[in-house]
Amino acid sequence: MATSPLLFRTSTFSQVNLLHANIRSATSEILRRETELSTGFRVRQISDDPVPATRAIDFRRQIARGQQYMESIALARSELEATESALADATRLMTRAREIYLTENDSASSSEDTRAVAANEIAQLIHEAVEVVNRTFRDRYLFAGNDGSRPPALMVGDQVSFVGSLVTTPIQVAPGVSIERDVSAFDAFGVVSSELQGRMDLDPAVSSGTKLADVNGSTGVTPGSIMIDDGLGNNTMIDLTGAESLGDVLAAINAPGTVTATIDPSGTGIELMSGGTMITVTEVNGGTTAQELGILKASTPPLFGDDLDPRVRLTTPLTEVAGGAGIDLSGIVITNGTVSKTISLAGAQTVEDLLNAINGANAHVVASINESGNGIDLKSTLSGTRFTVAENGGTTAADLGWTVGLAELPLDQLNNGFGILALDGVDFQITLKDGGTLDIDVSGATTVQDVLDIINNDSNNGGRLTASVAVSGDRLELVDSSGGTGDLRVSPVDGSFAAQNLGIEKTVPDPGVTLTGDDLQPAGFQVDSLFNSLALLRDALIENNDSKLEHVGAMLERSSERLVLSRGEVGSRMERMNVIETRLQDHEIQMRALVSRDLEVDLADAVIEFEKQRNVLEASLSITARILNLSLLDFL
Amino acid sequence: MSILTALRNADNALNAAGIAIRTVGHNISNAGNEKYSRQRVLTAALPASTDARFLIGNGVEVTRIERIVSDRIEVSFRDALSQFEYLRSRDLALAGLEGIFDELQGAGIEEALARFFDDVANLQNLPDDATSRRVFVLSAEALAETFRQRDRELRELRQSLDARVEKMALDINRLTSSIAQLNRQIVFAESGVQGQGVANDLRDERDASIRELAELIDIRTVETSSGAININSGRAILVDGIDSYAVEVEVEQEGDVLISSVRFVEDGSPLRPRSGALAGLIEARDDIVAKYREDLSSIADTLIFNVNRVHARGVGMVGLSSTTGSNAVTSVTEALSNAGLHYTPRNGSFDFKVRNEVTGQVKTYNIQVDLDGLDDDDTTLEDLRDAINTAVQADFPSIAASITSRLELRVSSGDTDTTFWFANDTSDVLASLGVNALFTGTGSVDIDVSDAIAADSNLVATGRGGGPKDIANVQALLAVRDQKVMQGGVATIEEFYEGVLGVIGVERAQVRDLISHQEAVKEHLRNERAAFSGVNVDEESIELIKFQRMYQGAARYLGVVDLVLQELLNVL
Repeated sequence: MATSPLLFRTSTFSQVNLLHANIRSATSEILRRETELSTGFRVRQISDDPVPATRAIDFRRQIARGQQYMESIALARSELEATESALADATRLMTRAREIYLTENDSASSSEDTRAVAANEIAQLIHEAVEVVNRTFRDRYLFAGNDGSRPPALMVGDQVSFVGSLVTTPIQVAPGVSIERDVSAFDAFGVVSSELQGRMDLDPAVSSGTKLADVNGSTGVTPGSIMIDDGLGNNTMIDLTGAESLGDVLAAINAPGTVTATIDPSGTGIELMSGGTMITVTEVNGGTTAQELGILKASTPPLFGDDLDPRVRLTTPLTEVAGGAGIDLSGIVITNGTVSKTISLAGAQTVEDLLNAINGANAHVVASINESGNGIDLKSTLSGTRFTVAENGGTTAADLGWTVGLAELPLDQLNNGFGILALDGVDFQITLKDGGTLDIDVSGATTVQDVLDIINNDSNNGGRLTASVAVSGDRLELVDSSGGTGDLRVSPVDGSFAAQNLGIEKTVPDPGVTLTGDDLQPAGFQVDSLFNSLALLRDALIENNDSKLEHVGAMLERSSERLVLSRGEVGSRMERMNVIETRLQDHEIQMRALVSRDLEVDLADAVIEFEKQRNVLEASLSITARILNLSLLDFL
Repeated sequence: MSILTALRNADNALNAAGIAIRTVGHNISNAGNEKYSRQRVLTAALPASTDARFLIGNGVEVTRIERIVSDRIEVSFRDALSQFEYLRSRDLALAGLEGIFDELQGAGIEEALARFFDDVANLQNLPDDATSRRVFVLSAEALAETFRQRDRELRELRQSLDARVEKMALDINRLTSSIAQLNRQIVFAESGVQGQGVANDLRDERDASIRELAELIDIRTVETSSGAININSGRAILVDGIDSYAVEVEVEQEGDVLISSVRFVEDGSPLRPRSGALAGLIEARDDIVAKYREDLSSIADTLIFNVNRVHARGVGMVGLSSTTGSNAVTSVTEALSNAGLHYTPRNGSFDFKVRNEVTGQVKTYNIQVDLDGLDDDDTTLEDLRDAINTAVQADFPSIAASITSRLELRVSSGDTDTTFWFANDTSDVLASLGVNALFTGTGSVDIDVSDAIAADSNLVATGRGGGPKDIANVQALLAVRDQKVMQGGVATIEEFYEGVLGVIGVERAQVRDLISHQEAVKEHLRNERAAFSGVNVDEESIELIKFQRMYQGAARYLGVVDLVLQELLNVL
């Protein structure tokens, strides 16, 4: 207690008061030091030292949060370890399959009998592969994606169907850092086909219900205001910040009553009408709203906005797609191995109805809106067979972009999946009617179109022979326009089967100019999965079919390659988690040091301070005793 | 000169010495009494009388017994007391607040918030694990309970501060009436009716009462010529001569607390002190505690809305078979943006998803929420109910939206094979109505976990319809932790709370510094007063010796005069 010296007189009371104050101050200071020493904390209440105290609270929160992250990492790592172990098992299994393949594909070391035995082993390996894909960790299926509650792979006869989800979700392992803790069954095993994607832009028409977020290929419209001049002297600002749908935009533009906004008759965008000679739309404050709505322009009325190109939603009416023309609802026929389903779309109103009808047909296919939001993907989930989509008497499949022309087909789909057996070097020779010859090598071709291009672009051709897909049927057609009088002939070279496999190994006697090939019997799409390559190997071994065996080699390689890539990915994720964990641990140590510095007591200081205050108290007490004893009364 | 006059001289001297010795005795007796002001006997030589040619003094008389006080010190001391008590009242409230927001020891809002979000993070690890889900619900309940408890404590703190207002009003009345009473006694005593002189001890008593009053409210005093002291606080007169004006407490309901205000009985005008314990108390009650209670409530408020708007858009392990909004509208025919909802929805839409549990297939319906304020067709609660029914019932007649008797939205499925949920709500209408909400309530006073979720943790909306391991919604919930949703987008919920803690700490530390300064000022003035007015026993001893000698001298003089008289009588 600071007390100024009293200049004139003191009273007995003020003397006592001063002594009281001194003792009080010393004892309270001693008590404070005593508490510090006994608790180890310098700051016990925030007001003791507000800035470090609140800082310490923040640090402690960060420590707790870091611990939570580390817990997430530990769990994710154990799951990734289980995934890695499953993938390692799958790799072993594929190694064994490739050993069998190499042995059995060598005519010197194989026979029908050894192949029959090997086929049994491969059948066993398929079962093991299903077991691996259905591996669980903590009662959840590792490769089932979002849907971890049921086994994702099912044996359907000799084939394997994938019924899990391919959606994997990253978990947060540090502020702003997310890592996927599971591997999609597609990435690891290729369990669904990637072939039949919705190539047709469904191009929905716009309506008042169209969401602004869905237009312009899903880039949407930036909320803002626009300015519309109706050409009659009314320049009106339209606030569109709260607009969610095109209907909201129309209502906002129509509200002031100067300009009438509607959906244009073609159903692609906005139409503005006014009684003036010119409608001018401008941006406000450098915004981009008018431009994104496609109406940043000046035009004599009516002003037609640009095509807004909205994305396909689950709720998009089927009547709105194809620019408002809708699609044919006759339906499709899906043939997937032995399963054949006729799916009628009668009654389907929205895109979701269509997806539900297809997905609910048990045809082992998955239909979904594609990533860019403008079409519908159709994928097969059944490995070990092939699937095709055909019309159900209408144009549904074509409308959805699911019909694939012969030219686009991969060669290995031809001839019921036997494909084309080409040799290195020239495969066949075409003799033209004028006697000219074309030496054709198709070993570099992967699709039918590639073969057509090789023939048409041959350096010796010079436009004398045109190869194309026949107008009807799955066959090729060669038309000779050389004007010669000889026969048009295709003959194999060095025993290559390519011409035969392409259905064109034949002779057309003069005066014929058109060589029509045989039906190429395309086999439909297949799932390029681990199961599929094993199933094909098994079937080739059972059938003792050299040509099929030859094909399987590349598929087995691809399946193994996928596994290797997935394992690499898992490894790198675990490594990232280790790095993050180390960083979190370092961070925690730093935070703890800071908390300690902010809140805890410096023992040496506290002890010295305690001793000092004890001495002060002792002195106060002794002085008090002496002063109070001294009085003039003693001398009366 | 008459020799007899000499006797009177001695008599006067003895008398005066007697009075002085009694006064010294009075002083010494009160050496330990802080209220007491030392008294001093003032003497004067009696006027001389003419004896033949000379003017001869008549000895001594006591003119006055003076009370040694300094008005300057007294006024400063009273002001210092007012200011000190004002600060102490504030500190009392801040200490209470610091106790309630004691986060350094843990187990507070900070920890409950962190635990809640940590358990959200844990849900992303094990979204389909029954224990994780249960633990999450429990920590949400613990968070809600912590908010409610802190709110209750703040309400009680405010109420306990308020309870002291009434006691202070009674103290003010006791003191003003006692001062008026003392005024009366002092005026009477000093009017000369009873005796001469100044009523020193009554004045001491009155000063003590005034000091006590100054501890409660800031006062100004004016002494009248009659010796009475008038007291006013600001413009309000408390004591006027021998009259005092009593105050009373008027209790009003403010939200869920009772607030007492002090006013004068006579005309009902309010007493608005600017310093003293009462002013500090009222400010602490109405500004400090109420403000932090609001801060706490705004945290709960923001948390409820931001968590619910995410939660409403997701789905748990099972779809909903029934959900009732926790927030009622005031009118089912007013636009929802104007229907008395605490959280105001905006123009937008949401998806209503129905799942056939037998086939597992989902059907989506987009429900428009038109709140653009145009065309007079904004969506009301009735419109919303009808929109859902119109969209869904053609396909799923068992689904029905309705309005409860309490004007809440209710959606239910009449058949166990059909469940539903909501998605992509851009209008926030679901969170506004409290549909499929995690938290109910609108602030820290009533925040709670919805009954449906408390009863079935499978309903915690972890996913968005993808499957049991779908954590899309958990991630969105987790993101709420890092969203700058407080103070118009500059702080996260936790950062804002830490800011509040910091401000309480700084405010308390400041008040403590001010108190310690003010205490020094007060103690200095107290010492100054004690030094000036207090009794010094040694000094009194000297005075005693002085008057003892005077008495001895006068007595000896009397003896000599007596001897002289004897001599004279012996002559006869």
